[in-house]
Amino acid sequence: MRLKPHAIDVRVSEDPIHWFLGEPTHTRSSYHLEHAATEFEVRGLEVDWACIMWDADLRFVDGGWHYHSFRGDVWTNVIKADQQRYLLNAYRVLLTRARQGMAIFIPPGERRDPTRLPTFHDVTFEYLRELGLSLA
Amino acid sequence: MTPGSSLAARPTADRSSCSRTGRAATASFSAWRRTEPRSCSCWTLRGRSSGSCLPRQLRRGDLGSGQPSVVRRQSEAEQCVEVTLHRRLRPVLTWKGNQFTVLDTETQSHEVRGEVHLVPARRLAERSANANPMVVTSTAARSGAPRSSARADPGLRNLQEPRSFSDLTIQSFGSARTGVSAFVTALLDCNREGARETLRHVTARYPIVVTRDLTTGCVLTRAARSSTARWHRHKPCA
Repeated sequence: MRLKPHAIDVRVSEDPIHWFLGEPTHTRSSYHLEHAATEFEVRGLEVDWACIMWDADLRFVDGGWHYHSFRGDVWTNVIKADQQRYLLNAYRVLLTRARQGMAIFIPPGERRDPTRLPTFHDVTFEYLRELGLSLA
Repeated sequence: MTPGSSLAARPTADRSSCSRTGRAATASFSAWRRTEPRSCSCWTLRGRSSGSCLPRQLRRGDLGSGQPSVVRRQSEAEQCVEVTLHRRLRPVLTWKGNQFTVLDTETQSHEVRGEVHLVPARRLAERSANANPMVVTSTAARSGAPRSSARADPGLRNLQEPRSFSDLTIQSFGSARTGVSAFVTALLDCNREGARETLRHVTARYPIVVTRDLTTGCVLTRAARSSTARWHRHKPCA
């Protein structure tokens, strides 16, 4: 995951009970959009609206998915078929959590950061736009 | 329809050779049985296997929402095999090699794919007597890895591993109702035409936007959120 530049650190564990059921004034609740829940925390549950963050671990390249994992300070290829399916299913979980609508955020990337090059994200963005998703 | 009655026998068979002995082994499934007649939502696929190899597991994966498979051994040469799935309607089972596909007749889109792994009975007997050798929760073996990698798994040690949820996907009922699941499936399957088609039907009731700006995404989500508002508005102590 390379979402920390966007102030999203999925390693920070938050209690799903507070995240889903916290009072609107509760900073730990999903209301505040401060803590991002991972596929492990939202599996089997739903929210009304979701802002999904699409990292560079799943990239649409040449008509198919390329699977990556961020290790150390580089992106590595995911070779094992089962690991690839896990990653695909993680996105499947995330993309089906919202009941009423969702916004998919694809980071713009950063040219000066070799781990966040715009090309990592642009291909996926173009694919989603090609499917007809409207741009916000 | 009586509870537990056998329904619509569909004799199917899977023949596969044992990787160690090379001898043929058979796993066959014959009928769906409704196991929860009141809720009408639980179906069990019953069958048996015979031969020199035992069915290692019935693996669920990819799509669908069923209970973990149960494989029960009756004797050295024959085993009763069961897999339980939650479906309101009787699923349709098709075989291809040692892989089966269960099609949900309700939605025609939710499938449960799995396969029967056959391992030598001798190897299973080598495992600990304390553990049920027929309930294998090994992530590597469950994930549909090639048979060579399944052989490499230590077996008993992996029996204690928690099951990885990523091996299956729990579909959202809300998204299935609005057709989002079909769109996401087409999107992830790189089915452009299918995704475009489903998106046209989805967007009328279910807005989906893509953005390169996190602030914009958060503003949109925050503007549309209701989250626990209904609960806090109607909860008894309010």
